[in-house]
Amino acid sequence: MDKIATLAIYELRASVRNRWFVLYTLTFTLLASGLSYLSLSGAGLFGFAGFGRTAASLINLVLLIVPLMGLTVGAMSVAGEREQSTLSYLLAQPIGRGEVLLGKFLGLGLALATTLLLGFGLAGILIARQSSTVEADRYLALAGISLLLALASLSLGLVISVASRRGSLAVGVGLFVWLLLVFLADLGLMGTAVAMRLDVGALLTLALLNPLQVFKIAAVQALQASLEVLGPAGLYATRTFGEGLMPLLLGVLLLWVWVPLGVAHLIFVREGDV
Amino acid sequence: MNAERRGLGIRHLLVGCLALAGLLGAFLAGDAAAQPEPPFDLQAAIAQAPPGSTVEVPPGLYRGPIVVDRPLRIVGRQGPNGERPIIDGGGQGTVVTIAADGTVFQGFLVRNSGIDVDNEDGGITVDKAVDVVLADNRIEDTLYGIRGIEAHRLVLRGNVIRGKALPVARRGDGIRLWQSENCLVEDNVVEGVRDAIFWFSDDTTVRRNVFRGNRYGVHMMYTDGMVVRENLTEGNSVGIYLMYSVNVLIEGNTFRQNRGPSGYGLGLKDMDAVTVRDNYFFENRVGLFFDNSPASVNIYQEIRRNVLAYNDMGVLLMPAVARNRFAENTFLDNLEQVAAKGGGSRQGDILGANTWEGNYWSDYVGYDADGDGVGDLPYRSESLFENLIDRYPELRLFRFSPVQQTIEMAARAFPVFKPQPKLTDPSPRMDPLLPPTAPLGAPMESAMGWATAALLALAVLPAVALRAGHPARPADVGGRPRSAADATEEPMHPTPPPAPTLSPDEPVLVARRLVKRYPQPGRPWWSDATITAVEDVSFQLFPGESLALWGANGAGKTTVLKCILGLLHYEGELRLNGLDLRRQGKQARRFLGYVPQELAFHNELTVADTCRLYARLKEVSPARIPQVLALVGLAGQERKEVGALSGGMKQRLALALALLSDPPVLLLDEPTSNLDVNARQEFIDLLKRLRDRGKSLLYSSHHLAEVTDLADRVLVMAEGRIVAEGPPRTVMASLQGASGGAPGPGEPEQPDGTGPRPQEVFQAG
Repeated sequence: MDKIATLAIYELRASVRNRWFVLYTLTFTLLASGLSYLSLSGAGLFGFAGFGRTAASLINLVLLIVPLMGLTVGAMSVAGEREQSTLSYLLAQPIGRGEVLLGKFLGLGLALATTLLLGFGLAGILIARQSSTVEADRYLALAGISLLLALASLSLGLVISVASRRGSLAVGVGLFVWLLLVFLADLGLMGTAVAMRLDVGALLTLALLNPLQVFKIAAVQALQASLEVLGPAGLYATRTFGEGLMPLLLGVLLLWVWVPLGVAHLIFVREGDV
Repeated sequence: MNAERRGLGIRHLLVGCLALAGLLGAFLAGDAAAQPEPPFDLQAAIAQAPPGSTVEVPPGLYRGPIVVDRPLRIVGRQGPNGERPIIDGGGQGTVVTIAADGTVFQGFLVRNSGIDVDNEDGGITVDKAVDVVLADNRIEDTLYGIRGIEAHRLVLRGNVIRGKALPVARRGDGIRLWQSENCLVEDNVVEGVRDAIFWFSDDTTVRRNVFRGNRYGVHMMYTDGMVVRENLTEGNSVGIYLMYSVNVLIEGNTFRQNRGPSGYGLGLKDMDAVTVRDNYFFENRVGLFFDNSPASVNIYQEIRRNVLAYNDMGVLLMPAVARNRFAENTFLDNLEQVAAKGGGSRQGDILGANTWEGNYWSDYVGYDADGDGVGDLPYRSESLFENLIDRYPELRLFRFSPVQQTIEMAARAFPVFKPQPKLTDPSPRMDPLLPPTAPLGAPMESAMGWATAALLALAVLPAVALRAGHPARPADVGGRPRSAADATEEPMHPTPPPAPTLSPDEPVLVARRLVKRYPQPGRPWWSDATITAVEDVSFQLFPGESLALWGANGAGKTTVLKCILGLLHYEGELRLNGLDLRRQGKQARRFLGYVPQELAFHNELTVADTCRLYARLKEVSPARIPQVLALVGLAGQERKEVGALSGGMKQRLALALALLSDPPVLLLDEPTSNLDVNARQEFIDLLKRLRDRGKSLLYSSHHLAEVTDLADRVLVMAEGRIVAEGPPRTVMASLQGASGGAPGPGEPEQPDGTGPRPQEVFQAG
């Protein structure tokens, strides 16, 4: 445990020095704050509400950037060290491979959490200054669900990473997966829904295969306390799962965190040759 | 209140009390102990009071049902602590029935009706009595609240009505007026009921009420000439639903958070001549819903100066809705400003059949060059995604996804995808024109400041963790040598268990029939073709022995080392200190110090940080750090970044790290290949000293000098096999003899002592 913590802290330090990480943090923080500021600029009019558009912008931003961060950072981690042969030196120490992987996951997860907390924190300051109507617990819930998404994409990135010989290849695959999850899957599903006349149950089930959609539905549920805004499929989800919806969505997200991490562990330990 | 009438009331009250005292005393003696005040038979008092008189009722609990069949003022007197007289229906039937014209019923708490839906059990029923006033009552835990049947000119003022805690489908209506014209409903609060419903009750005014948490805040059918003004409807399924009526004014109301599968702020169904002005619609699923309204072809309706903000849909129109004039409204940040249900092929026509002029649109992207407050370009609602979701509502699931913007961008970039505008406002306002009064209801409290403070504090935590993971300041390690006392102050990490004591003639490392095969480079995925890097290698390493693996690049030396380190899967057996390296690799590596060919390490860390990291990973006390640094001659270099070290110093650092756990065996991969002649000699001397102290050394090399100087024994490898073994001099001599004077399988020794930089042939593939 001590070794895992040591590796995690070491990984966190390396991340803080990593210019990509700094760039992501700056981008996320600036965009989150900027979007919140802009979308709330009309809210002073009534002293009412007005979180809808901010929420929409934040959900949108998280959907775009957080998986990108998680996937690329995760993809780069093991493969990059393998390329620089720092990985073999690390593994030559009295440490298990599982410990190395878990240490990396925790360290990078902490780094991602720092990025998200900074972004949400600073955006929150702007929101708090402009509008007294945003419910704090919902905002915190959004931050928490975003963190789950970050960890899920980090896990996916680690799978790509342990299976790749070179860092550049891993990042390439990571970017493709990002594109797939963010755009291609949704476009394909929209097309399928219209062309095949999918019923809402099937549409919802297919959508829930995508962790980004799971995040989005959970975020909307947390922010609006209902899924009406997502139309018939959202209502179907509410009707079908009722109170169990949120635990279900969070459970699926947690599965997206742990299952890929388990797969990465299997590959890393079994694959053998470093 | 009129003093004379009050006196009359009190007198009657006293008479009633005296007359009944004896009679009631017998019946209610038991109850009297429980009740704080002497009981008062309300029904009897009503029966006795002359018409037009006032009955003042003291606080206390009265049993229902009560029937008022003569015109009286029945006034509940409040107790010193504001307690009201309570009329309790005991869970049976309707609690109070008023059947006399002109009755005033005021100041009671009416509660606990039956729950029979067919009988419409409720709090107060006004049955065919006109000019009745119900004021300042609280009606709680009743199926229906107040019912008026043919109760013309009924006044409901300042009542608070809370329904039974039942699922919406089983609740009754809070207010239910049937064929009751010219009524006034004002300043009431109606919560947790089904509807406040008005049937065939023309010219009724509903004002300044609060309807909260009901199915329909106000539901109205066949009720012409209704005025609905300054009400707050909040958290209902529908705020106000108007049906089948004409001439209705909806003015100055606030519709907030009316949501649900069919959540509307204000819904108009088959209505005619409705005026909707100066209302606020916030956060409803749909702000304003039109279904066949106006219903008549020659009627136009006006929707003016309303604020529609933050709704999922600002305005939703059913197909074929026409002849509504939308002017001076503020459309602010609705997810969909205006939606047409079902889309349809003639969308432009559908919404275009209504007029849109001079509204403020928060998504307007035009400009106002002439400064007249009106945008110079028309506002056009043309979103491909909106058109799609209007037509295929299930696609709303993809709202907020980046794919939404992708679709809009595609529509903008490729005009072939661009939809027909849903509606056009030729004169969009640049600034909102707001209603004269502010919206109703209290803004929500928020702890946003605390939330963000918590988030930022959490963001700082990792930084704290970094400091915590950094217990020793650089000065602690560098500079001064540590005394034993210093070392004990450090939290001691558990030191590795000592190596099992082996007798000097027992091997510390054993390789038996070691084989390593790599996948054939470039093989197709279905093939299992391999190349063999190490073939049937067996050897032993004894304590205090220095064993060299000598061979050309690609002979398999590094592969053997990597197998021992657990970096590669292999066939055969490897044992270190009796531990199976395949299964107990992690424990075994405690007894192993590894010096790679080139210290591949994070160059931005300092020497001290690097040492601390590996001390932790090897579970060694940091007190070891100054010792090993001194041993390899790096004392004083602690603050240097690894990247700034020379090749020789890096190699010493690698050795220092390898020595941290004081392992019995050192594994070195081409230990001096990156060093110049002087550094090489120093390093070899250092290794010799270590060997003399009892360390076992296993190292790969293709430099002759390295082998002859340092090795007690040499294994000559070629093409993955051991081709010769023995003391260096003997082996070299035999090899030279065998191959006619060639120096051996390695490259010829360079005069300057630096060979070509070895490539790891197998790893590079």
